[in-house]
Amino acid sequence: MRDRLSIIVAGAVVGLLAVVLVLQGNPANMGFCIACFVRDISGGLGLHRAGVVQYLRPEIMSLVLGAFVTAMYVREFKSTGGSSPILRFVLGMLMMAGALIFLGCPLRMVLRLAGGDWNALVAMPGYVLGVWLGALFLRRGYTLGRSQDQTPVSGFASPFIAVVLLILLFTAPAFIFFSEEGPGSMAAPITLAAGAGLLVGILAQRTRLCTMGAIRDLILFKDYHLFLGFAAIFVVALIGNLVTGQFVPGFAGQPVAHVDQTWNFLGMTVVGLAAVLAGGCPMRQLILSGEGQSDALITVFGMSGGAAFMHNFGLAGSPAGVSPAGQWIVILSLILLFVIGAGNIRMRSVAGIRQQAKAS
Amino acid sequence: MASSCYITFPTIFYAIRAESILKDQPYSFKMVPVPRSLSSSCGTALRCGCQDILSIKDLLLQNDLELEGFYRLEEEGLKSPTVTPLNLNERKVDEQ
Repeated sequence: MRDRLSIIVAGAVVGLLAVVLVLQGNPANMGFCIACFVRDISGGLGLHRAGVVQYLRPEIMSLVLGAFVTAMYVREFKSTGGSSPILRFVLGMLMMAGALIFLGCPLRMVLRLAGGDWNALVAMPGYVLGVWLGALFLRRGYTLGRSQDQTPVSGFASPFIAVVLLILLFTAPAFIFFSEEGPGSMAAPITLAAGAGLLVGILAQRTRLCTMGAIRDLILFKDYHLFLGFAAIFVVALIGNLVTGQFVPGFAGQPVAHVDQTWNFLGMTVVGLAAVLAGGCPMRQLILSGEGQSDALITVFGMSGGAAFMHNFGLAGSPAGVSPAGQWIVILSLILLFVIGAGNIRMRSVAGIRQQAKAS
Repeated sequence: MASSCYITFPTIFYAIRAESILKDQPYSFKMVPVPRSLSSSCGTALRCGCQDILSIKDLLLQNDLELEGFYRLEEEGLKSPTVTPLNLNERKVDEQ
């Protein structure tokens, strides 16, 4: 009961903050978008040169720091890693590729829907399909293997990077890129954005809010616990948009969106499948990295690399639609995800089982 | 005060296998997200009656599953649940 109430409150706060951040300057229906914000940070660091999406979004850094501080406070910080790092990097890249075809991560998909962007209605079944495909792999024995304990240094990497990025944001040295037009130039005040990220980081760490887990648990176990958080984000953001006049229903002309429905659908299929195979949606990866999981940090690096790849080669979607090359990337991503999924269906570790059996 | 026992797994793969092994057995159980008071991981746990946890553990180990931990949770309304890690080498769960 207590857990359920907590996750509903967390979802509601995320939905509310998303509306507030848009009112205060973030791009429409993009109060929170983990993929977009990581993409902006990649651009800010010069990893890609798409001039309209370059900014060191403080929401991301403070989200990590919120999770880190909370995990330290409640003694849940644990430095672990070493579970198929290369594959996790690739999964992060593919997750970002799918998100940049649709133009949003699962969190933004919900926020777009709550803003009346019906293209997200097409993307949602695609996302569910992706998670369902991932669940099939899980049922057949897919695993990237267990993480191992590591030295604290690797666990502190993610919060350290977050602090460095915040310093770069505040000092704004010449080598950091800041968009002067487009979505990257639209931002809520830094203190508000950082505060919102911090609060969401704390809440997400405490409740394990995860947009992929919400669907996965429904499919695998008919359990709707995490889905309550997912639903709360939508309901509160919808009410907030209706009250503040930001609800604009329709397909065409939606902010930072396109109407290529096949690719909206398949882009989010890629995100859903990659998220299951990687063990968490983009937001959850950030939270886990703040808790000391370097596997999750590597996935975030993959997301950042994926953003650079998609923009440097002109593959990302845009309000004009998805280019033929971008369409091929979706197909190739799906093929790669199936290869990774099928290639990691493992027999159980007999040695570990025997040890456990002896111990008990 | 409601009391349930939980078994946690190192990966979701073992949780799924546990469910398939137990579904034809006469135990009352449910696969649930790991309770927040047990772990911050987003894994899946098996919730069962405390009178069955020893038999379930034995059955799962006989089927070569890796298990991570065993707990009893006592919940009362909105209060923080009381967590008791179980040592199942001792055969009397009710007294732990």
